[in-house]
Amino acid sequence: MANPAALPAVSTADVDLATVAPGGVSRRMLQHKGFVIAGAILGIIVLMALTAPLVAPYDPYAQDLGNRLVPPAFMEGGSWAHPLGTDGLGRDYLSRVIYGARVSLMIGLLTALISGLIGAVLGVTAGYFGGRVDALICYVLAVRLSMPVVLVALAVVSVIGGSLVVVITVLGLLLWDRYAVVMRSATQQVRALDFVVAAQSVGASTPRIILTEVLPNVMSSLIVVATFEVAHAILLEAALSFLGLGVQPPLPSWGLMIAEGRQHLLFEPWVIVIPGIALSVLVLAVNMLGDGIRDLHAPENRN
Amino acid sequence: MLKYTLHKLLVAALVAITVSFVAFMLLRVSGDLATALGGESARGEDIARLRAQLGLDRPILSQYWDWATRALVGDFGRSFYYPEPVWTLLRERLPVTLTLACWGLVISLAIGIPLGVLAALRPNTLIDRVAMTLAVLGQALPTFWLGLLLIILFGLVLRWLPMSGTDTWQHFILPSFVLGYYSTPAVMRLTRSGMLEVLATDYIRTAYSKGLPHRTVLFKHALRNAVIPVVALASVQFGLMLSGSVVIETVFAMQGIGQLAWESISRQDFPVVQAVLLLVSMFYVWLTFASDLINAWLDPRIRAG
Amino acid sequence: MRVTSRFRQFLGLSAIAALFVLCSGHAQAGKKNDTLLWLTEFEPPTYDFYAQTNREGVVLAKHVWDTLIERDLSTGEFKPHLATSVTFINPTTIEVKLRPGVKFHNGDLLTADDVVFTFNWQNDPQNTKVAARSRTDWVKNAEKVDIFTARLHLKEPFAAAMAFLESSVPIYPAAYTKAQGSDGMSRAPVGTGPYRVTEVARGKQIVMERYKEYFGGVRGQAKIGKIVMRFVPEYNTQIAELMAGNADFIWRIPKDQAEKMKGRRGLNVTVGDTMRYGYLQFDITGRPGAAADPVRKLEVRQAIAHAVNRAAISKTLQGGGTVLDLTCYPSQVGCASKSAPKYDYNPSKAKQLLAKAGYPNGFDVDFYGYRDRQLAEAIMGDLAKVGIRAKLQWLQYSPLRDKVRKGEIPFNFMTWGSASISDVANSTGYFFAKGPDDTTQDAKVVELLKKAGAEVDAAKRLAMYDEAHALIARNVYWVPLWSYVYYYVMTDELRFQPTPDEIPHMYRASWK
Repeated sequence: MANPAALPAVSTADVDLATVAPGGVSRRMLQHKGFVIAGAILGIIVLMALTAPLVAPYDPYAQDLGNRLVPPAFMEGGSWAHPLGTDGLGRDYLSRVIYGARVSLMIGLLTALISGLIGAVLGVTAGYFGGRVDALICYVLAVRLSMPVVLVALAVVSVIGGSLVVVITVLGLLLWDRYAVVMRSATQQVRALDFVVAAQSVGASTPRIILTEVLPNVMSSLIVVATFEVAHAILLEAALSFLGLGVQPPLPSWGLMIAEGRQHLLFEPWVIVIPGIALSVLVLAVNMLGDGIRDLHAPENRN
Repeated sequence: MLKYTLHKLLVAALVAITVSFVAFMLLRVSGDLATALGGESARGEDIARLRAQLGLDRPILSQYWDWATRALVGDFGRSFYYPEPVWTLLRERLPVTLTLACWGLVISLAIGIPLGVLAALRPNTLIDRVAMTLAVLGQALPTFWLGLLLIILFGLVLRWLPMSGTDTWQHFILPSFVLGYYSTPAVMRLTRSGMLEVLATDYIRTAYSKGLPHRTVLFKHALRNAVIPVVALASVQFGLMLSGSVVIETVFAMQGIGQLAWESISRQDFPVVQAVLLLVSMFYVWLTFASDLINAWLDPRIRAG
Repeated sequence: MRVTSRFRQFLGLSAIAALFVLCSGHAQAGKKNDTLLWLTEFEPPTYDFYAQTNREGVVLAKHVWDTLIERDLSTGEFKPHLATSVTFINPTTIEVKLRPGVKFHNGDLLTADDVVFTFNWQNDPQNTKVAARSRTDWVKNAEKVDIFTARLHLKEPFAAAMAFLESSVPIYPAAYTKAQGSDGMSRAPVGTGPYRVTEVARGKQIVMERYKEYFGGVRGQAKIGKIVMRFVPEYNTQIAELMAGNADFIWRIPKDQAEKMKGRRGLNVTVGDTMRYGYLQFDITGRPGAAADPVRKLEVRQAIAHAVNRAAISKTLQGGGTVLDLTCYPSQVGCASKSAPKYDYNPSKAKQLLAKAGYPNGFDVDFYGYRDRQLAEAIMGDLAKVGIRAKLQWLQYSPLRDKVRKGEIPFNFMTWGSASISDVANSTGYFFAKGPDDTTQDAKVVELLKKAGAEVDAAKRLAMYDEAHALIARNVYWVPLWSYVYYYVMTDELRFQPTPDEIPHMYRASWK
């Protein structure tokens, strides 16, 4: 009975399930400008992450104390030897940005995977079975929603110590709430549909119904939520790193690079601006992708 | 309505208790906070003495029970770091964070709702994309960067606003803006989708066909309905802001509970961290309860469902 | 009609804008108001000096209270200050003769009662507000002889007694403290010092004004009329405020920022070495599971000592600092050794040593730290060059210290300020004499340090420390790194000299 409207970024209105003919989807996908642009940007970032060792001009960990804080090539004092300049320890920034894509994507995707799994299982279970099971899961959800994520993450990490694994685990275990809420609504809607009722009356087993009838139909909502949550996880990691409790140096995570750049904010602004732009572009692209997917599965009047 | 209220109340109370238990247990994961109190110069004996004094060698459940029963009457014990009762610390710092959160909420609504309406009126056009980009930027820019940028722009270059501290109401302008801006995308998206949904209904089409002026339809009818979920969202965002103000309070040198929580976490000042977690969680729980009631009052369908 | 209302709107808005401009200035500060606005990061949890160990608290204490003896700046010697004489009448008794006529800020006269009270109250096991009993527990008890004379009875001969008296035992007013307790003292601090606290705004600032009836002594009269210490946790914000002219003094600014402010109109940048030093610490004790740690092998530790380019890191990242070879700061009494080996920067030798120790391809190790991340990373970079793959584990100070004490940390990077005590007793003597932070527990070193701590003959004492340092360096129990430099940025109207004790002595500062 949790208020379905108490959702930050995705409302039940987003979760409307119009059935669209399969062939129509891919055609519309390519016509939807936002989706295409976002897809292209994300494609580039993913490619960059995958081919980092080939593309990056230097080793992102190689320090060069004689060449600290060299400005990027387009600024005064910069040179093309380091197109995006160097950081406080003389490491090439372009290489760190390229390798940083890996870390940010990994955090976003793995966290989304873990929290998505937890949230989807809880949400589908609650939505399908209803009654006491639903009440119990809503109670767990309410407890989770009442805990301030940032403070809890800080408290835990401050004691265990930060690292890539810890951050992904902690965030994964905390950020499942939106999945649960959305999956629950979506499942409730699907459950009432004809083909599910039909499967039930035929006597198909519950797991089978869930897997073959319910899941494929709620998958699109899951993907929409997942895209927003990927962005959310990436941003949270950046915030944790700012406070010193995210991934550990010398790992080139964009969030950590921004946090490290705090020192140079006033006089060497590119140290923050460059990973900041990278992060913003990634988050924007992910959000646009999510919007695009949601629009594509929406009824006609949404366009 | 009464049954609904009672039911919600029961759930809220249950959640509150669970949360308090989690908040308490969460911090017991670790080491020795007697060391934290001792500081750099304290010796082993000082620390052993502190440990016994603070009752840290008793069984955990009995520690929880003591804590919880006292917390109910507002006695959160004494801070391990400050020489004051935790409640005094909270009371001194809560007004700052509450003020920030309120103004932040106002700003996020003031930016998000108009942007959302604009985007809904021209869906999938350039205006829609720009509005969404503007809103999402609020989340993608690191808060400390935005904060410091605004400090430099408005405090140093233009000299229009003060840069840090909490002396006057002007001191709250920049930090509230940064805090509120973070929540803008959520408000905008919700308004946008809510508006789109409402604009498509028969109810609105009827209003148009009746010949009512465009503006009246938009504001008196569509917006009022679309805003209902935003009300619920507002309570969640408010709670988020309470806990999300850590960075902003640090950057703008404001002594609020966000900064208190962060410092206490660093120092393992357990009583304070527990109290803050509990306080913030209670805000969520009771705000959600209140917004559930408001929504039920506004929308009879929810009551029935 | 519409034009007029729009025009009114415009007027209204401009009026508001003008109001902003007028109202956004901070409290009046600077030379013209004889007020020094000092922005600093951390607020002390309490203003009762004895109930906390925070650096800002120590700084404030130096301004509000006096100690029995003070260091003469030009000669570096200890001179009587609140006292007229402080002498050992026998190896375990110190006789203190007080200066008559000294008044506390609340009008009370300073007498031997206050000295006796300060020591006995701090050592009293019933007193729960003591942050570091080590400040006074070398004194068994204090006794009043007459109105201006007191005797301190020591537990055993304590060579660093004078150093502790100078830095760690400000004299408290007995009557006031008994009446108000630690909390009362925190709300309204009362001492004999050159500055008197006039306002305590918790969370925001503390205001001190020059005490007109200050007795002077070794310190002389303060010159700046009013000091406002305001707490701003973010140093970028501090810099912005300073550049806007809203503040007069900021400190502990990172080198890169401070260097960029040199040459700016209206600002002065000063650098000063401090007693705080960084070190790499190894856990050599035979705790269970420790046998596998590569750092237990002497060659490995020697390799690490050769692998880190301390001079380069310190110079480029910090902007200075002294490279240290001993586990103490050179100005501390007892910090010298003729026979201690030095380890130069020599990566190829490091690799040879590693190979000899059985690690020709290096090894992986967890490397713990709590502050100065960039320095830690630079160290890790140098280690990586010789094949040691260090994985950074970043913790907050208290959990890290706790783990170190439990023996869970084989290899860490930490710093130590010695509580500004200019005697090796609180640095080497603290870390290697079987205290809780001793991760070496070398019996011979322990013995030497304990004997030296009680040795009153200066020459014998120095010889013992010399030998202890040599043992420590030969075994590379630590790799001492560098001393920390502080950057101070201030308005150019201020005349200020930094000192190595990590304390800005504002009572010596003046306007130009």
